[in-house]
Amino acid sequence: MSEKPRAYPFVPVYQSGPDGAMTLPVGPAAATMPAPYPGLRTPGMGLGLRTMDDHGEGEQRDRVQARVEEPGAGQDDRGQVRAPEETPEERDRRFEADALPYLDQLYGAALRMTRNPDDAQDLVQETFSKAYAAFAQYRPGTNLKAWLYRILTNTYINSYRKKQREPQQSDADTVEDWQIHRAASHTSTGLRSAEAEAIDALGDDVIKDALASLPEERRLAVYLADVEGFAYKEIAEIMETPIGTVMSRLHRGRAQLRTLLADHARSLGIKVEKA
Amino acid sequence: MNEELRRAAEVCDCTEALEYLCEYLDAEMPDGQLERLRAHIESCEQCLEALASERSLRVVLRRSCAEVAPESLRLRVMSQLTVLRQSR
Repeated sequence: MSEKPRAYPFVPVYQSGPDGAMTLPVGPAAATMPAPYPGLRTPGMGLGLRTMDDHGEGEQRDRVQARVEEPGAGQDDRGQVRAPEETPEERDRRFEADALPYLDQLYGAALRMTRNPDDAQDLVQETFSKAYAAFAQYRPGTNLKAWLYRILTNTYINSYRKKQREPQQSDADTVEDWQIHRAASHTSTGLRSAEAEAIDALGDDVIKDALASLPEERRLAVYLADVEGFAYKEIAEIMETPIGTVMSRLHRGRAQLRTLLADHARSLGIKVEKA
Repeated sequence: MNEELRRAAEVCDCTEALEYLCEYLDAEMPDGQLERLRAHIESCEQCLEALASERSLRVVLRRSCAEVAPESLRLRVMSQLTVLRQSR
């Protein structure tokens, strides 16, 4: 990795978007933008909420600033965001109180995504930067955890996956294919308790390695459902994919993981009885 | 809809229960279906075993994947927030 963004890791994303014409909605425009996800797809979101009157150090930021200041220059965001009664300071406190507690969980998810602690840390940091910048667009009372995971996932897909060796997967998990495959793939007995016990006896590293070996989209779906406990609908939103595709990925990912783990348990000589 | 009604009138068997075991465990099916599966599973030793095994697999996954962020990351995030705040 040649470039490790630090203070403003989200900057390159905006720069790579369409420029000029796209000029960043600030103030009222930003507030009326549909904002199911505040991260990447809508350049400028979040930027209008801050940095109106400082003169930053660092070239990149200056460039962004120049662009941000054009439309609504000179005005700050106070009173223009969704919750006019909330001051930026109050919002900061709310961010720290509500979003920061997800640090460990987001790090765990980032590790499963990147499979590498350095990238996972960078990814988490970038996620928090974006979330902070866009926090005024987060609607209180909606699912904050899912909102943060959506930023995390999108950031990973847009900036980290490209750096990693993982080949782009053609989406083999088509729904029709899966439904045909589905009934046939189940054993007549389901998972036996002896298998489950043998798997339970495996070390955490073995389990993590098995999960890491799943194709990315299945790995993520399984992680989001089985570890984080997200509903299918939430996973569909986080991964920006139809719910049928989520079910397909889950089904295949779980089956694959179960086979891998049972095989591993067997190879270690842990007794897995055949019924 | 006819298919649905027909199915709803039938008693659930092992094949169906095992096929939909994950959706059942995820509570991702219509209530009626859920009840039908529950009625079968609770009276079937094999399906109960499969259900308990699936459940334990998830517990294992959760246990293995639990992570604590390094303190250095926490500090990085906090100091970055401070920088972002000051730049407002």
